[in-house]
Amino acid sequence: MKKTKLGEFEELVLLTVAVLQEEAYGVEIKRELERRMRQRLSVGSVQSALKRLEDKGFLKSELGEATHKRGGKRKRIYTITRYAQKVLAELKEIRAGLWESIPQLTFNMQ
Amino acid sequence: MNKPDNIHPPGWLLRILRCIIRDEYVEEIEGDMTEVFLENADIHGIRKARLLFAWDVIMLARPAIAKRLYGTYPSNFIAMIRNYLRTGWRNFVKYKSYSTINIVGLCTGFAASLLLFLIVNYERSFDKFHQNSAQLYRVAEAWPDAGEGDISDMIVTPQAPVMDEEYPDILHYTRFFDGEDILQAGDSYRRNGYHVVDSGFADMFDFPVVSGNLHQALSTPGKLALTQSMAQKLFGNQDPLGQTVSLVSEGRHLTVAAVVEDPPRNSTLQFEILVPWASGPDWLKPDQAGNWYNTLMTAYVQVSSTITREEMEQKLADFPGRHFLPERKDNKILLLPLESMHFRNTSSQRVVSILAIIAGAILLISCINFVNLTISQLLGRLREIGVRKVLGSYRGQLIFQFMTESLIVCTVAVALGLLLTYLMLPVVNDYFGFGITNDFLANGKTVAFIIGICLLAAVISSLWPSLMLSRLGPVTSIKGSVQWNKSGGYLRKGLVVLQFASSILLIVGTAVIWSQVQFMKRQDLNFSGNNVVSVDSWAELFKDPEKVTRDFTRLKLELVKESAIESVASTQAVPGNYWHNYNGFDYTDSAGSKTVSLRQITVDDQFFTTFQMNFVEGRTFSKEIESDKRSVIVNQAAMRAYGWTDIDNKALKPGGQVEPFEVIGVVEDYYYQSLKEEIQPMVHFYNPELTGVLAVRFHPDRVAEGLAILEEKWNGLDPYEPFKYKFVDASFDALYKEQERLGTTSSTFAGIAIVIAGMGLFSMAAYSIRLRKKEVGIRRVLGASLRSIVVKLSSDFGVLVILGFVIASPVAWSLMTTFLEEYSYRIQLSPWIFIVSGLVVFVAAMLMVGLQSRKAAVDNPVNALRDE
Repeated sequence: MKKTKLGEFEELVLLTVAVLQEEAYGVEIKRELERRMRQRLSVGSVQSALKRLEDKGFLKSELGEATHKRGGKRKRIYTITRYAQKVLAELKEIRAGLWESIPQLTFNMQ
Repeated sequence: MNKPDNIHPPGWLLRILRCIIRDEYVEEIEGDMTEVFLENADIHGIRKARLLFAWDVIMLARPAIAKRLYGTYPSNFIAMIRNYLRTGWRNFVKYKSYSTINIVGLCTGFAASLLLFLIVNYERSFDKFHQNSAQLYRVAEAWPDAGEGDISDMIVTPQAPVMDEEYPDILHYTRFFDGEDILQAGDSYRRNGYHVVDSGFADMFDFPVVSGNLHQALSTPGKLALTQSMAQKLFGNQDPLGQTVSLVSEGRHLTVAAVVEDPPRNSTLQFEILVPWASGPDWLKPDQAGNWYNTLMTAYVQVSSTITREEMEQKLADFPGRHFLPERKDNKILLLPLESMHFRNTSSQRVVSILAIIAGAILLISCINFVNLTISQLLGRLREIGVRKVLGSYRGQLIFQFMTESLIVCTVAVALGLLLTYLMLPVVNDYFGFGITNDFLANGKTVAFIIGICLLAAVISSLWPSLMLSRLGPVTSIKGSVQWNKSGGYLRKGLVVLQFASSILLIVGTAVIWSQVQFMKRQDLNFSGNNVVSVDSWAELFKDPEKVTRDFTRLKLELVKESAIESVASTQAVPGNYWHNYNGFDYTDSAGSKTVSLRQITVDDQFFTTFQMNFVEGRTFSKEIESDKRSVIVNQAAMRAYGWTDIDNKALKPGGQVEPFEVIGVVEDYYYQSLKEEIQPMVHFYNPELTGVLAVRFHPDRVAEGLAILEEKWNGLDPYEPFKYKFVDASFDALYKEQERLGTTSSTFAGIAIVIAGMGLFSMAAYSIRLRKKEVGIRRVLGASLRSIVVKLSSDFGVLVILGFVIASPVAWSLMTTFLEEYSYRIQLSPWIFIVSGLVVFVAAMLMVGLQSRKAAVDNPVNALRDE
């Protein structure tokens, strides 16, 4: 995972896409993130993260069905790539390792 | 709740959205946005949903999803600009002389206009730094039948306080009396001016206080306030607060209670020492005689912001009737806005407008140069244009290219012009007495002006040539066979005509200004100031004033005995420096009474002799005749004003006095001030014991010797300050300093303008002669003489100069007539000024063109005719 840069927000978006599976399109991702982060997000911030992730090869996408409540516009459904799964797993492992290495004592004093 | 069918996001926001977002993302993101909008409308209502939608649209402007700035598709736009810059630079370097002429011209024009802009800004900034400047007025007075500008802004002592008392709309007032005395601080003495003011001064004006309390200093008797630099002069680095400053001849010992910053240069009120009214000279006290008729001082009031100037003047209309002396009861009190005082007091408005004309002319000339040179240069690049077209350039791209190149030249010129402005600013400040600071780039308005001028010059100068050239078909331009002398020729010639017209205008202006100055200096003043010096010798300037008053007559007699000294007089002031001291004088005869306002001065019996003035009637004052102390001498203007033909049994009664003064003589009208001003009716009083100013006429060959004697005798009187003298003729000439400055400025700039216009003509001639190379060759082969070819080629340009002359003359005539109208005594505009100016330009132009044509004519015709 040397050359890949994955921002904090990008990582959250990526994980959300993984969680939502077939439901992973713009508004749903935004909604899920807003619920979990307890803050309002703009469509632009989510979308730009999605596009960057797609550019970096973490996501792939295809157009889904159009619905009436979208003004007749089609959704774009995102799925995470194999590469993204690998990177996310690595990240989790590194984090877990670090957490375990924190001396219990210090942590409890907080 | 509305059904989803009826509500949708605002259409204009959607259009913006489509503008921002890359086309390939529009469908998805527009869908997302719509979905969020509908959801929000459901939860928060449609109004809030719209707001949120608008916010989201703004937040869409992100690099990852927004359109790329340089186009929807990957484009070569940047590469093209790089190419334009490169070609532009190559052309710039290739035609070094063109580019230099261009840049030099533009940079001068730019610097001239920037300087002017700064000057105008500075002149407008006067007195605006007071917080209430719009409500501050100077009190003035006009006679009932006075014309425009015939206003006195000196007032009588009690006027301001009584006005303040009677009219609640006058919030504050201060008188501003200009005094002079010997100051004593510690053991040192110096002669210095001071101002007596009321405590309202501290309320009305915002001169920053450095230490102490200004209001307290100006309202408490026995205190005073100093400016920082005055405090430095008097007390060095000591703390000035609490120190004592004495006004020696008034016998006042005052304590420094406040120090204020020096008044800025753009303040009309200039002062060094402020003395509270209660500690001012005794003769300013309310119970002193002359209160209501001696106009001694200026005064300022602050009027309530709820009332306009006209309304306040209306309210004050009854004031003169209630308080003024009988002959002034019909006068009207005026309020002159403080913000306009600067333009009233000085002639800077005229300086500014003359500078404006000069700067405008230079900018015009250099811009025309720019256009002409750009056209010439582009004509040499027809093939490039053709090739670009063949390779698929749009017309817009070509225009854009040429504008980019112009912008490069303009930017370089503006940068150099800025440098030039920085270098010139101290000189200009010094020369015109402006206080413009060099931090002008910190001012947003100035920066906008600079950028504006730069863009304007670039666009205007490249617009026409680029439109014309880009219209050509590729084949025509590659063949390079365009005939430019048809339509383009007229425009270029027209511009050259305009250039010469402006140059001729500047030369005529310069010539007129100089001849007027020379005229004023050479005019017979009807008195002689040659070899006469004036020495300020008021009794108060000496350590023992009473002794000096007693000894003064003896001193004058002793001086006159010296063979190096021809005559000695004492007077209140010498010509060129007369006070603005007026009074109304009544003349009564059987036909009735007539009052004329006369300018008054007090002199001794030797005054008229020393200045070699001529009498047309009567005699001068005499020491022997005791009654002369109650008599006066008038000038011819006064005689005319009263309508007298002789002075038999004529007597004048000054306002405020009971007994009339007998008129014993009439002196020929002499010029006691700049010839700009008309000679006013004057009256001379006689005082044999007057100290005042000593005027000494030396023997023409023994001036140095006489000065040495004078200095020695004068120092014997034990003065506070060392001996200082001025030659009367030199100080009179100094009255024309401003006119001379204008003359120098306009001649410098006229010179610059001619050089720029000449360079433009030079390059245009070079170009058109190159076009006619073959013609010249053929003429040569057929046996035309060198001279006939040069004349043939030059005559075209001669016509342009003559046309320019025809256009410039009437404009110059009317401008110069306006300029001269300000002078009471002025030159006649002679056609010779115009003819000579025209000839100068003509010869200069012919020289430029002649040299170019000669070069073409002496060239071997084979070179011109060979066609490979």
